[in-house]
Amino acid sequence: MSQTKMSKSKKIFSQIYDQYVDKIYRFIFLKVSSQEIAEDLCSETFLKSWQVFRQNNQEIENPQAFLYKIAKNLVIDHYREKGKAQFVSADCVPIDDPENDLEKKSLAQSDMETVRTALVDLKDDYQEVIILHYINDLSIPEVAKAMNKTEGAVRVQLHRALKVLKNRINQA
Amino acid sequence: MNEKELIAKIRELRQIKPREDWVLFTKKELFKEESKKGTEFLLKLKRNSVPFLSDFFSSAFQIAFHHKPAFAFLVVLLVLIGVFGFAQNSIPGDSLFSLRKIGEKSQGIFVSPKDQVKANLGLVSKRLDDLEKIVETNSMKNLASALTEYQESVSKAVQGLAKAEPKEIIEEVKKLEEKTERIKSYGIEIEESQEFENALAKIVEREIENLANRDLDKEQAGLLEEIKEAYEVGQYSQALEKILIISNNE
Repeated sequence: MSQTKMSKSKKIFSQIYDQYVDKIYRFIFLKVSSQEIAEDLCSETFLKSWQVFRQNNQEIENPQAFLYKIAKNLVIDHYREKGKAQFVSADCVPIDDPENDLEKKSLAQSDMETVRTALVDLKDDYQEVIILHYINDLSIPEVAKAMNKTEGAVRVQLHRALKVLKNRINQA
Repeated sequence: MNEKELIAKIRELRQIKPREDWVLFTKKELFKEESKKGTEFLLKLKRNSVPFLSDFFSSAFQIAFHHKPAFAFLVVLLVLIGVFGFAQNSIPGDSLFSLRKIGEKSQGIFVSPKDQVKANLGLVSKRLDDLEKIVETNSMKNLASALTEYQESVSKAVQGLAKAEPKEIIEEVKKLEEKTERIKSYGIEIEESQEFENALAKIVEREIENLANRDLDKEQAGLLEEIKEAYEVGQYSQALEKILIISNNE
């Protein structure tokens, strides 16, 4: 690839990186519950995407869906290699700031932890549809493309996922 | 915990973000070999960007009008394209905003009647984006114009809305609802359009009637009750979403 083409590719991919790095990291983190592992898998996601992007002359039809697919596959591979050890590493436990209202902050964080833990326990499809739509703000058509499903299937899944999550949280 | 509270709690997980230094480090590592050269080049361009651009334009005009008259038309055309391009970033109250509106109207010519409702809702969304930009850039002098433009876009969007199918409009309606809530949270008073709400209510009423006359399974019947509840409290976009779930479940 010529120098000019390479610079252009880097510029475009740089924008893709800036646009999606937070969301891809969050997506992976909510599945693996470890900052260290999430960082590793997220770097690998972008590295693989960059390689494909370069090879295909900047032609990735839907970068967002492509990144989510790679991230998802890397998470699956990670669990296959390591075994599905549902652990929460110490580095993702929030640390209270002693300068703020302790009670308020710890209530909010405990709520968030409850939701996060319940989310991790959901089956993959339910987990993903909630993360993509409610946390990462993808529209239903975008979620459908990322998960390779029809929009109708995504709506049904979202409805069922919320119901199951609500029951789990109310039971906890 | 009801559904709305649950969704609010889920959304709090957006606080999960990667470490900033990790983000920067990873980006650098991706382009390791040429990153230094690229960064140096970009820094040079940024530092000199204003004189660079003004030198470029002044040279271009000199060549066009003194040496190559045939290029004069091309230069004027390029300038016009550039001006229209800048106009895209204008907001209501700016001098270039009228150009932007002309551009939006001309795009509307190519929209089929079937997609007109969706396109009109898209324009409302753009006016809400303008309002958000005003807050972000603290351009309060543009606020009055932006609110007027927003209200005009809503009045236009109401035309034909009541006859639309839920699946055609749900994504746009949800986006509008989220954007409106966000702007209200900044302290900007956005008047709810009763006509808009009435149009959405008509769609939901029509669909409730259709669903009530059909054979529904247990899950669908449960959803219909939720739709009626949402309709009663005026949560029309929630009602529309559940209507779509029933349609997609068939």
